[in-house]
Amino acid sequence: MSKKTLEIAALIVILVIPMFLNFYYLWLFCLASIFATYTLSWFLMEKLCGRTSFGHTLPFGLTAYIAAIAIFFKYPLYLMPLIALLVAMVSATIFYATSFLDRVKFVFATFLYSIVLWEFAPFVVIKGDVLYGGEEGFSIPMLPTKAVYLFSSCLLFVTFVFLIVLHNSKLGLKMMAVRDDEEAALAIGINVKQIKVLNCVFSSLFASFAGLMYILHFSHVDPDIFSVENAVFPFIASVFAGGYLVPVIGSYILIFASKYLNSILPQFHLFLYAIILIISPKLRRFSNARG
Amino acid sequence: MLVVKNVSKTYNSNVVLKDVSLELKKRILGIVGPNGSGKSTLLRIIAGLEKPSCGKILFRDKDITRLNANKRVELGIVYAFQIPRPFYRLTVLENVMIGCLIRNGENIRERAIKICKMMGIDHLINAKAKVLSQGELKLLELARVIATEPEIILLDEPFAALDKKNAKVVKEKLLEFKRMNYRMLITAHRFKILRDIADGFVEIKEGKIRRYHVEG
Repeated sequence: MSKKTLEIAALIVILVIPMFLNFYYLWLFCLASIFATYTLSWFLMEKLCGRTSFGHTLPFGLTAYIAAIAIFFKYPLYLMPLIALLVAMVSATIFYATSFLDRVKFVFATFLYSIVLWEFAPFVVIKGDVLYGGEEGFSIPMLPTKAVYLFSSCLLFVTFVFLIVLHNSKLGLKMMAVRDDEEAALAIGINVKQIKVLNCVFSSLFASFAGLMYILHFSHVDPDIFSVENAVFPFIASVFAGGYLVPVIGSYILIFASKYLNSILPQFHLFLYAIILIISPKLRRFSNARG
Repeated sequence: MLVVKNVSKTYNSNVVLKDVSLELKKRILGIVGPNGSGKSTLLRIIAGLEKPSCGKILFRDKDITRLNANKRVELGIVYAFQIPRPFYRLTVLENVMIGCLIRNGENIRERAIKICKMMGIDHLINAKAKVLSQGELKLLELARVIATEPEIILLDEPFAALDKKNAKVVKEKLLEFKRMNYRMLITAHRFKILRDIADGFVEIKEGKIRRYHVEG
C-alpha cells in the first residue's frame, strides 16, 4: 500500500469516527474539519508555491461574513457557493497582485490584509432591515450539525485528495519549480505568472469554502474571524509539515487543545500559539531537513 | 538564424551594452571578455530574462524582442545559468522532468531518465538537488537545458567555479552537444578554454564588440 493510499485511508477514519460520537464531539470534530480545510488551503500556497500567507482570513472570513449577511436577508442557501466562488476570485486577485512582492514582504502584506479586515469588520452594521453586527457580530438560523458535518468532511476530503493529486501532477511539479526559483523556472520555459494565478485561485477557493462551512456550522460571525489568532492558525497547525496529513492532524490537535485549555483558563491557548510561533523556525528547519 | 541587432542596455546611468550586433548561423559562437564586459547581460537579453534598452532580437527572421523567456524556450532558445540554479527541494529526476514538460510529450519520466544517463548523473536521480556537488549541479543544469529540446543553447560561463576534473567533464559534454548539432552561444573569460568547442569568437569589452572572428 502506498503512502498516499495510507494517508487517504487515515483521513477517512478520522472523518468517520465522529459519526458515532455524541453531539458535543460531533460539533467539535466539525469545527476541526473546517479548520483543517482552511489549513490545507493555506498549505497549498506555502508548500507548492513557497508563499507564506498570514492573510488567508481574507477568503475565509470574508466568505463567512458575506454569506452570513446573505442568509440573514433570506437569500436561498444554494446561492452561498456562488458567494464563496466570487470571494475566492477577489482574494486570488489580491494574492496574485501581492505575489509580485518578495517572499518576506508578502508575509507582511498579507498579514496587513487580516488586520485591516479585523479593524473594518466592526463597522458592518446594516440598519435598513436591521442587522446589528458591530463588535458583537450577528447570528443566523442554525442548521443541523450532522448535515453541516457531512458537507465539511466532504470538503476536507476533496481538498485533501486534490492536494495529493496536484502534488503528483505535472502542474504540481511546475508549481514546486516556481516555489524553488522563479527565474530558473522561467528560464526553463515555465509560465510563472500562469502558475502563480492557478495557485492563488486553488488556495483561495478552498479557504472560501471553508469560510462558508464555518458560518453554516457556527451560525454566528463576528470580527474575530479576521483575528491574528485565525491568521496564524494554519502556520501553527502545519509547523511540523511533512505530508498532507500532518497539517490536518495539527489542526485537529489545535482545535481540541484550544477548547480544553480554554475551559481551564480563558484564552490560555494563545500562550500555546505564542510558544509554537517562537520555536517555529527551529521546528521548520527540523521538518525541512527531514523532508 | 539568431540575430542580435544594435542591442544596448543601460541600468540607471550605467551603460552595460552599447550597440551590440551579432549573428549566429549554423555554428557555435564563443563570446569572450573580462568580468563586467556585458557577456552575461547579452545572453540574458537573448534568453528574454532581461529587456534591452533598445535594439532587436530576431529568431528565424521573426522579432522576438518582446517575447517572454518561457515563450522563447518554446521556440527553442534556452539559457543555462553561470552558477547552477536547480530546484533545490526537488530530486535530480524531477528537475530534468520539468525541462521535459515544456514539450508536452508522453513518457516524460523515461525521457528524463535517458537524459540523466546521457549526462552521467543517472546514479543520482533520486537525490535531492540540494545535496549535489558543484560539478554535479553543472551537469544537472545541462541536463535540464537539453530536456527542453532546444535549438540554441545559451551557456553562461559553463566552466565557472569548476575544478580541472569537472571542467574536463563539462567540456566533454559540450563537445558531445556539438556532435549532436546543437547551436550554442557560450561565454567565457578566455579564448583558450573554448578553442576546441567554438567555431568562431566574438570579443566583448566594456559593453562593445571589439573583434568578430568567425571561421568558415
